Amino acid sequence: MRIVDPTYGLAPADQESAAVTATPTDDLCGLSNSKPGATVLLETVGRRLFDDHGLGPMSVASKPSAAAGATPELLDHLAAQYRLAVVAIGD
Amino acid sequence: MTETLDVPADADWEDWVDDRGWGDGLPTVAPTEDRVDAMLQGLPDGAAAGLAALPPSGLTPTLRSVAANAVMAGCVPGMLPVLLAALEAVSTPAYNLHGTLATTHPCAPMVLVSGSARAGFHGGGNCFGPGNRRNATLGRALSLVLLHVGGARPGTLDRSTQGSPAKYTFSFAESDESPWAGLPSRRGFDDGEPVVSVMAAEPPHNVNDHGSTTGDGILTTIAGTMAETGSNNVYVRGPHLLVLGPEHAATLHRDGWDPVSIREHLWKTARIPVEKVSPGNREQFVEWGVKPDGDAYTVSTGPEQLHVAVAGGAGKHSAWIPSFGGTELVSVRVRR
Repeated sequence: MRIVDPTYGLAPADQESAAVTATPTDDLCGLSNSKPGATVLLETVGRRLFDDHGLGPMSVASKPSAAAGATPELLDHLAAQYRLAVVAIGD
Repeated sequence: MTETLDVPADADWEDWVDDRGWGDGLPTVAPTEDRVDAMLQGLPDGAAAGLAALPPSGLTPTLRSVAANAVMAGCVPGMLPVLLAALEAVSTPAYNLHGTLATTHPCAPMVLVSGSARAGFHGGGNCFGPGNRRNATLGRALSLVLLHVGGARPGTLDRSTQGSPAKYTFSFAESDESPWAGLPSRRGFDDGEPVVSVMAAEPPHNVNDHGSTTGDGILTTIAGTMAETGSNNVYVRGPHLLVLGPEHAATLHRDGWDPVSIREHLWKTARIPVEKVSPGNREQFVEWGVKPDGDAYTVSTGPEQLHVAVAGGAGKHSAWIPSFGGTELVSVRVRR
C-alpha cells in the first residue's frame, strides 16, 4: 500500500545564520525559559561549572516570556557570542 | 525525503503507525493516494497561500500532507478548505503556535466554525461532544498536522504537564439559534461570511445556572465562574471565549444585553479577590507585571479580550473557555 506521508514538509531554504559563523568570545551562557525553576537550575549549574571546570562565570539570557519561544535573533546572538550554552527548562 | 511511502504488504496499519510515533493513540485511516486525491478535490486557486512553517520543526506542510492528515483523522472530502483556514489561523504570529505547542499548560487548538462555513458542522446540543463527524475530525486533523509536520510530539516537544482531552479534537460551530450576529461580525467580517476562529484553549468549563431568570443573574454566575485563581488568564492575560447556551442567550437578549455589553459587564464583574490568591502566586503575578485593581485581580487586559459566541442545545448551561493566555483569538476567512 502506498500512502502520502503525513509528516512531509518543506524545510527552510537557508537554516544557517550568518551570525553563527562569527567567532565566540565568551565561554558560557545560560538560556532560561523564563520560569522561576530555570533560574535556580542555571545558577546552580553555572556555579558548579565555574568551581569544577573553570568555565564562566555564566551569563544568563531569557526568552521574552515563559509563554513564547526564543527568537531567532536571540539564538543567533548567543551562538555568536558564546562557546557553550546551557538551556534550562525548569517550571 | 519523498512525499509518498510504501507500507509493507504484511504490515498491520495501526502497528505501523505506532512504530513511527505517528498518530494520537486513536485508530487512523490510511492516507492512500486515492483518498488524499479525493480530499484535495475542489480546492480553489491559492488554497496553499496560507501554509507556513510550523514550529517546532520549522517544516512547511504541503496541501498533500495536510490532506493526508485529514484522511487519517477521518475527515470527509470537502472539509479541507476549513482545515486549511484553521491551519492558517494558528500559523499567525498572534496565535503564538510555538509557545502553545511546547508549553506545560494543557491548551489545545480550539476551532470555532462560523457563517456559511458551518455547513455540515454542528452548533446545537452536545456541540463540544460526540455525534458529528465534521466537529469530531476537524480539530483532530489540525492536531495531527501539528503533531506530524510541526513535530509537537507529547513527551518530547509537547511538554504539557497533564494535557487535556481537547488535544484530541476541539472544534464546534456557532448556533443558528443565536439572537445576535455571529462572532466574526464583531471582528471585521460580514455576518454569514465563512470564517474559522482559533484560540489556544482549555476545554470548556461548564456554567450551570438553572436558578436565574434574568440576564443580570446569569451574568453574575458567569462572572463568578470566570474569576478563577488558577487560570493562566489571571497573569499571562490573553483571550477568553464565553459560549452562551441558546437559552441563556435568549434570556440575556430579552433583557437588552448584547455581546458587547455582556463583555463590558463581565470585565467589571469577573474579579478575583486578592485574599483568594496565595502570597506566592501574588509574587509571581508581580513578576509578570500584573497587580490587583484595588482589592481584586482582573482576568485579562480589557473587555476586548472577552469574546462571546452562542452554541449548544436546550438547557440552562453555558461554557467559559479560558485560554493559554499568551495567545489571541484569531479569525480567518475560509478560501472557497
